[in-house]
Amino acid sequence: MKRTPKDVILARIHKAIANAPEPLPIPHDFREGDERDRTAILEDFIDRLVDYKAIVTSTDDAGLPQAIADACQQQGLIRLVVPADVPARWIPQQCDVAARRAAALPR
Amino acid sequence: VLTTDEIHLNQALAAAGIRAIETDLAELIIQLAGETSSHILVPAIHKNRSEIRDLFRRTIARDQDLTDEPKQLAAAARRYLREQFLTAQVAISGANFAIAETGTVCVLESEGNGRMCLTLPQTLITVMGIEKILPTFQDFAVFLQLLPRSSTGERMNPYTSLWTGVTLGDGPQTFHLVLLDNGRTNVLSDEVGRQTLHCIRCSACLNICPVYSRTGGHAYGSVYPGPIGAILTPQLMGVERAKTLPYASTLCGACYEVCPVKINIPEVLLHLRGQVTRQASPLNLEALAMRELARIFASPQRYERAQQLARRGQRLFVHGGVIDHLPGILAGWTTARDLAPVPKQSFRDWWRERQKGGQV
Repeated sequence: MKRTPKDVILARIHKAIANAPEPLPIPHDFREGDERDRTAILEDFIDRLVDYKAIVTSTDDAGLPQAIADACQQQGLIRLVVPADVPARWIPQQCDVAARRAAALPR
Repeated sequence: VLTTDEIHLNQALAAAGIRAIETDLAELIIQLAGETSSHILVPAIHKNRSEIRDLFRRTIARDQDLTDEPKQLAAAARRYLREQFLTAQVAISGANFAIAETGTVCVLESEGNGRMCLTLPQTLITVMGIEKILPTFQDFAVFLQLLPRSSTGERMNPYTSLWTGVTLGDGPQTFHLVLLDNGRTNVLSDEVGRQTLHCIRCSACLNICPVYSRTGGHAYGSVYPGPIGAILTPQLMGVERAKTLPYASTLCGACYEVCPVKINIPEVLLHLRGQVTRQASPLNLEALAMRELARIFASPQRYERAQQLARRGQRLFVHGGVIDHLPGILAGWTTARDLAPVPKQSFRDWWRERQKGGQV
């Protein structure tokens, strides 16, 4: 049977670790999540964003279109590039959509 | 990209008539200057901003009004690179990690140039060392926290790109992954040296190293500089091709202390020094001298006789209480520092006097 390059490479690795001790088990006893409530986590998140000089606006679903419109107006933006599935009501009236990138993700 | 530096890919591409353009800002700077990297993370750290301005004026920003403001320099590089991104058909990248359970490849960076490189051209070729593979996403989470904190001291790096194969109509349509051995299985087979492959290229050992901070990265003459380079390069290339590198250290251990994956660099340095010494010819002058010294130090009689001999012999060379010039091949030692002479009375002499007199 002919050895493929993959066989050659894997054989080389196996040979290299043939006499190596078994790897130590990895204890997964470290903290993997944040148990605090959502508000505290959100506060942390905003704190970091502001620290990195982001302009943060807190709003709800109803206020979202206005928040986007205000942000565009403050920056003097009139042309936008948006993903294909962004709802039309999010796009401010004063703005043109220059390109809607087809995200063509498999459904 | 370090892995492509390691295999001299740019030179090979140039020889094949292909022009490769570095897209990392610092890598671009050293490419334009025709230099080599001096730091794993910030390859152009040896250049100041005026040098970079002059370089840009000679190369990518001719006839442009350019000051040495970092903002302006970055903008000039951006103008140049954007054009390259939009016209290049093929991108070559490295990788920080890959995740076996999903087949995902990952790049961490600060500039966003990496992401453009990974997403705009139609074909992506990633060159990755075989030691970068992690078993699961759970393991990946740990390294995602380790790397930025040890490399730039940030909570998180600005850009983290992950991709799993190709996506129709979005991003590169062809993806090649090259798994690079290039000496890594040799490193893996060495009992002491294999820990070197744990390295995640954070560069914390470079930043803390008293030797690196004095000499800079070029002094190592190796793709990977600093303490990690001093153990990685000799192992990848073979100690006979980099036999001075294991000596580029004071063995102070600061690198071991800061290493997030706990590579015992001093231990590997000593191990490699041993290999260098064992490989040296038995007639090598230094090896001969060291063997003789070992013989003398092994016996108290021989040691004391040698001391007496040195005490008599050194008279010619002691000036003002120090030896400031040694003859012959020993002269190298005294070119930069004085040597303390053997004292008139050794501790052993003093002890014997004390025993004789009862008290001192």
